Amino acid sequence: MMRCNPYPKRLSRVGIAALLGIGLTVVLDGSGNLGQAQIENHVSQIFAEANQRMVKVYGASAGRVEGYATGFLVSADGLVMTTQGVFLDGNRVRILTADGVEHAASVIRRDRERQLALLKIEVEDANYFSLAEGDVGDKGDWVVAISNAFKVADKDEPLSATLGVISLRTTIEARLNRRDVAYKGDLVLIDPITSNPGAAGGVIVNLQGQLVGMIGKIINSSDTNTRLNYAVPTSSLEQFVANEKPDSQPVLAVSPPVELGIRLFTHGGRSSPAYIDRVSRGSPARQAGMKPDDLIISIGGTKIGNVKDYEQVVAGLKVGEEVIIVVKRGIELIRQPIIPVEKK
Amino acid sequence: MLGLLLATPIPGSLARQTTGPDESGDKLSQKQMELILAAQRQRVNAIDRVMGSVVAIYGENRQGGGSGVIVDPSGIALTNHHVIMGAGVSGWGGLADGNMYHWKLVGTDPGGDVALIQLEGKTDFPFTPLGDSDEVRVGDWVLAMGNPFVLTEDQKPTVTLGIVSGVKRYQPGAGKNQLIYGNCIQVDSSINPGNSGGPLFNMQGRVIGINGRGSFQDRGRVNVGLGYAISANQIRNFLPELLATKLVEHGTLDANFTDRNGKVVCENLYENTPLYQLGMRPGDELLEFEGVPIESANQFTNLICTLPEDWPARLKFRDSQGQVQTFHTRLFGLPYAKPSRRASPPRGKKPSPEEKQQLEQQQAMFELLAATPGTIRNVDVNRHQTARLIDRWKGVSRPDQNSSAVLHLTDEILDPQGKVVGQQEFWYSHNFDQFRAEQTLQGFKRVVVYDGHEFHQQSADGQEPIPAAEARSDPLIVSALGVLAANSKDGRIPFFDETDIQLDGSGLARWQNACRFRTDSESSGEFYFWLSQLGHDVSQPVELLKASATLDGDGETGGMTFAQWRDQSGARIPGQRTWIRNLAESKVLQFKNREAELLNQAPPELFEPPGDVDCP
Repeated sequence: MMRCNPYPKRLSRVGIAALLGIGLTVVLDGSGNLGQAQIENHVSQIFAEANQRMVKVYGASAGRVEGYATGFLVSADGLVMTTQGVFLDGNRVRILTADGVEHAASVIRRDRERQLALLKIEVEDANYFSLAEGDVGDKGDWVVAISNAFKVADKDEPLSATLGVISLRTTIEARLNRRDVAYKGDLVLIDPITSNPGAAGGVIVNLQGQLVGMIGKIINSSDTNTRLNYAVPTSSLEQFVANEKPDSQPVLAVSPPVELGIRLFTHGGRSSPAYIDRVSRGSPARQAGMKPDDLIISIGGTKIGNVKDYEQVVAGLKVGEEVIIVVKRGIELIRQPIIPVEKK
Repeated sequence: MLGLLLATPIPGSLARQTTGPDESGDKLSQKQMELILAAQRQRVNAIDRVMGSVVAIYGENRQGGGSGVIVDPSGIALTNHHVIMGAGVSGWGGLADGNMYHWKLVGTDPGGDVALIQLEGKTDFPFTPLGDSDEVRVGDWVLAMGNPFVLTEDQKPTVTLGIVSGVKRYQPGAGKNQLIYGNCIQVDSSINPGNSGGPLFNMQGRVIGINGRGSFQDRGRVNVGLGYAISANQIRNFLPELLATKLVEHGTLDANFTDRNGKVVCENLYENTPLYQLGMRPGDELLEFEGVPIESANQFTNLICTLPEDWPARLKFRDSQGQVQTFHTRLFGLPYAKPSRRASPPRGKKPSPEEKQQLEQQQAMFELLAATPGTIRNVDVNRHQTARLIDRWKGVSRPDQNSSAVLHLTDEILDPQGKVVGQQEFWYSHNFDQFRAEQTLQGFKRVVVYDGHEFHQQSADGQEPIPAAEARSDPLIVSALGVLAANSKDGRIPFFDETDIQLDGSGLARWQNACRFRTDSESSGEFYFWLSQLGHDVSQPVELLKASATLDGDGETGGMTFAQWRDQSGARIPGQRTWIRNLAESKVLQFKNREAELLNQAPPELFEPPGDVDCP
């Protein structure tokens, strides 16, 4: 399972040394005896150029969900790449280009599986990021993250820049569990903090100003209250804009709802202990020898305190993937493997 | 520079060798490793240089937590207003040397979240001067230092490295006109609770801001990569006000501006404001503020947030007839909410020593916040700071010349168009306690002598003494007194010897940030003079910039500005003096120095009243 740790284990000691020095080394090697100041120059110029291609996106807000995001132009005629979100569900979506001019945007395409959205505004000869260059940047490379986190910039004010390195290029497996990720595919883990309100849809660029990826929607682990800082790589964005399906199956097809064939006593509501009321014939639970009145203690190592816990844990199980179920019968603890099946 | 990088073949990890994803791709060459280590050493050295000036701020009970930075060897340190709100009006400051020093609050600015404290116990504190925050760019490396989460045991600060993420940011305030961050610097260096009040350093080892807040959210007050620092240039505008022991308010024009059709126009303004009386009306377009072209209402808000009450602001606007006008007006203060109630001891119980101390602190805090804004709260502290600043001005030691030599200056007098209209000569006694001035202006000749006690003048009308009250607005006398004051020995300022000089606050003189001093005596009335603030270049001496009998150089009186000070013949000599009027400092006459010489032989009667010499 993918953990929401901002510093994945592959960022080894060598990786940290890279963090301190690689960009510097490039500058020193590349142009003789130059100092640390050169990185500053690069960041400053890269930012100024990238900022021209960035937009501020404003839409509907719903409750505590922010009604704003960042975006960037991907064509000269006004295609804008941003993140999928509730803010696109309102009556209108406004986009402010770098010059502070407001445009009405139409939503061309949304992808709830990859959390991407393509918008369109009416502009001509706009400065844009080309998605055709493919994936650039690898572990340890300096990157600049540019976004409008917390709506800090207004009108024509420049967005925010933060500096960091690529931690890892990896893929994650999507899980429709509350602590997991509704996104499957390639991603670029980064160490600048980008999991902030409004930052999604921002860009990650390397020190040559090339697009590494788009800052992804916030992924939060409710267990550890940590967040993943990542970007959706350029190649995935290109696929989306070209309206190609990804090679892999979309999220929902991977994890269909599962069942164990257990019905619990639910008269006391969802917070009552998880006693088994009935076991369906021919079900995985029957095969595992579960009986009515057994008290479920844990499934797959996760403690089951009540009916609610049981429902949440079962929702996170995968068809055909064996887990251990522990139940209490009388004064006896019984451990049995159980294989979930697809819910009918 | 970017072009250079793109055009240069890039070795190392950025241009990946085709080694695949195995560990060998992560190995660095010997040369790369050396470069990395050298860069690291360089950074460590830079940190070492400034670290000594960082303060961990605690209350009297040595609890609580905040940070600060010493900006002057006398122990003047900056922190946040919200830090002293927690710590109290005095407490302890831990330095990287491992020692704790007692501190006392000098002045505070709740509106901009800046407080100024005085550390005690040493006269040579390590310090870091303020830098120029207008030069800060997105992408600059910055170091934040302080005491996040009250981590330090040995008082050494925590260092976090990052870049500038944004400049000219605005973060709204809390309460009534409080804690507003205008034109501030946004950084991605980690800023956490406890970092408040600590310095943001650039890589040249200058304080470019004071870290005060971050963007937080439902996850609690932990760094999420957006920290904000109050700019050094804003702080510089408030520094003399804070040193003067004031509770400082921020300035306002009492007018609202809004964006309309790509212009910034006045939306509304009060009829009794100077702006209205000077002719501004709703709908007029704001073109410039403080010399900066205004492109949005937000930008204007950002700029005015950085100025204190009474600031002499300049603005340019276009009225409905299309006429462009320039105004100079002093800003009004934006009031704060008064503290609601006085702390009182619990009834019927004798407080413990700790409770008593706490109560005293609460009482002192109440008095601080209940003080009338803009007034000098503590005369003794003000006198101390005044003496220190004047010492800084006059403390520059100069080689002693011939014990009886007289300094002789010759100036040309020019009108505002640069046409020569006269000439003047000055003789200054060796001790700079007497002078003689002779002026020929548009055909009229005037001689003024100061014998160390009184002024006498001789003109076509005859010979007469000049009352002190008149002397203070006499251009010839004020220009001579400026040179006397800059050069007199033993920290004395002739003519003002007997009067009490106070640091009056911030101001502008010759469009430079200045400390304004005020004297008031029965014999001579009010008098003001302006000294330059310590600039970005610490080696720059403090100079006299301006002197005037009135605050704004109003009406007929005007004031004198001094420029191009230089060392010559063992004395500080102004290359140019200008008689000016009003807040706009409109030129009336200019005095350009043409000659300066030391006279070893001078007639003894030189400094005697002219009548005694000339009468047959």
